[in-house]
Amino acid sequence: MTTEPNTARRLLLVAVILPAVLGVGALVAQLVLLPTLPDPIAVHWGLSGTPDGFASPAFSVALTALGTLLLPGLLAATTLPAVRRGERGLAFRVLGAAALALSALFATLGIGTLAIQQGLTDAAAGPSAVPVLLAALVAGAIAGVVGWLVLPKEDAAVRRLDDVAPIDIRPGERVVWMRTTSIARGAVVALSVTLAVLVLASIAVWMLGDLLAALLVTVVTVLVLVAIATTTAFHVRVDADGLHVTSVLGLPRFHVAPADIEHVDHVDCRPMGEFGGYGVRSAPGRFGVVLRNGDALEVTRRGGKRFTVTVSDAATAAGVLRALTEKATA
Amino acid sequence: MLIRIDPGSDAPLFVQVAASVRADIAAGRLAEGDRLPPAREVAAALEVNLHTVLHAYQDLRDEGLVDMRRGRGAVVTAAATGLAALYGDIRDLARKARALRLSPDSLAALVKDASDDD
Repeated sequence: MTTEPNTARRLLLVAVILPAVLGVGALVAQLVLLPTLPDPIAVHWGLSGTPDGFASPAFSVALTALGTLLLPGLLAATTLPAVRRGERGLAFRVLGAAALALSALFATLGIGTLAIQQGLTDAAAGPSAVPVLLAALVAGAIAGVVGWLVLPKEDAAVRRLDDVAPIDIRPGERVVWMRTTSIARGAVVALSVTLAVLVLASIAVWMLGDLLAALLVTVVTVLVLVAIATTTAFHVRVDADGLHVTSVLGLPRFHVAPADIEHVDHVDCRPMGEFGGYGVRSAPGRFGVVLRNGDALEVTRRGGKRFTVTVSDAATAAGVLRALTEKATA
Repeated sequence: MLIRIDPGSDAPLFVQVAASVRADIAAGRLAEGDRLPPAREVAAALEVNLHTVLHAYQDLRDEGLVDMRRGRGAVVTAAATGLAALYGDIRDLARKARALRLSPDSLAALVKDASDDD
């Protein structure tokens, strides 16, 4: 009996079913409490505990739905399909547990903040929400631990492909392999939408007139723009000096010299499970410029650390790098 | 893109660079729409003159294998598909020649003769 369906089923339970139950339960409890609440209700409390922000009860219901259903739903959507395809890794366990923790936290918050305002006529006279916040954090923590324990401990499988084309280098010959690698088309769309939203938000905040807020939003937008521009496309080059991976904008750049190379492989990389996400990533004992699923060149350095870069025709690149490394260290 | 040059060989460097790109296209490693690396980067990586690489790219453009566009650089054209298909025939030819104990150089000379005939 294989364990693969088991992991997917457990993730479904932890990241979808349980959060949905908590979410629906919390929303039902909120709807039951609704008639007993003042309008507006308190939705924000200062550090001392006194209510200082007010809104319609619908606000709290919407926030609860967001935190118990939408956010865990997004986490499930980014993990469940991959796990169903057979991918494994620490990231799935973390995100699955996080989905359940979030749901428990927001369910407790949603029910609690309304429960303490039951029967009030003036929300401003209501009690402190600090105990509710503490209870929500504890509930979230407990749920997170439960989710973590239910999900199995499974490392990402290393998918080594044994189709590296050996390259014959004649004396005096210079061999270079070059290719550009970039993120998948779907990711381009997602990032473009994100950037567009940020730009619109910046414009909106500038028009509202609060200088500090406008500067903050603009700084965030610029940082995101720089991050996207520098980490979504790279030039990969294999030559006598080893492996060079350089952002199309010039920085960041990564280099592995032939003397530092112990092993070269062509692998099938699944960044979600192996690195916890896409882009320039770090994981225990590994570093990667992993922009998409699939073909990747993987170098094992002296000392055991691995550097991975997702790029097409990685089999040829591996063959060239192996030959050049042997030549350099001969 | 795999590029191999031998500075000691009789063939001019720009011919060798063009031959490398052509071989990549024939093997299907470069397809229609793929962008060749900027000539500047290829020249730096191979430690040859920039104009050597530009000459190679221009020859490929004259052959119709590559389009030179402002801002996009050299892009592989639809002719690449034809060349890759032809490469299948070339491999078959090489296999048959091998079976007849005909050396690659002799085969190449015969192919050149046949091409010059028309």
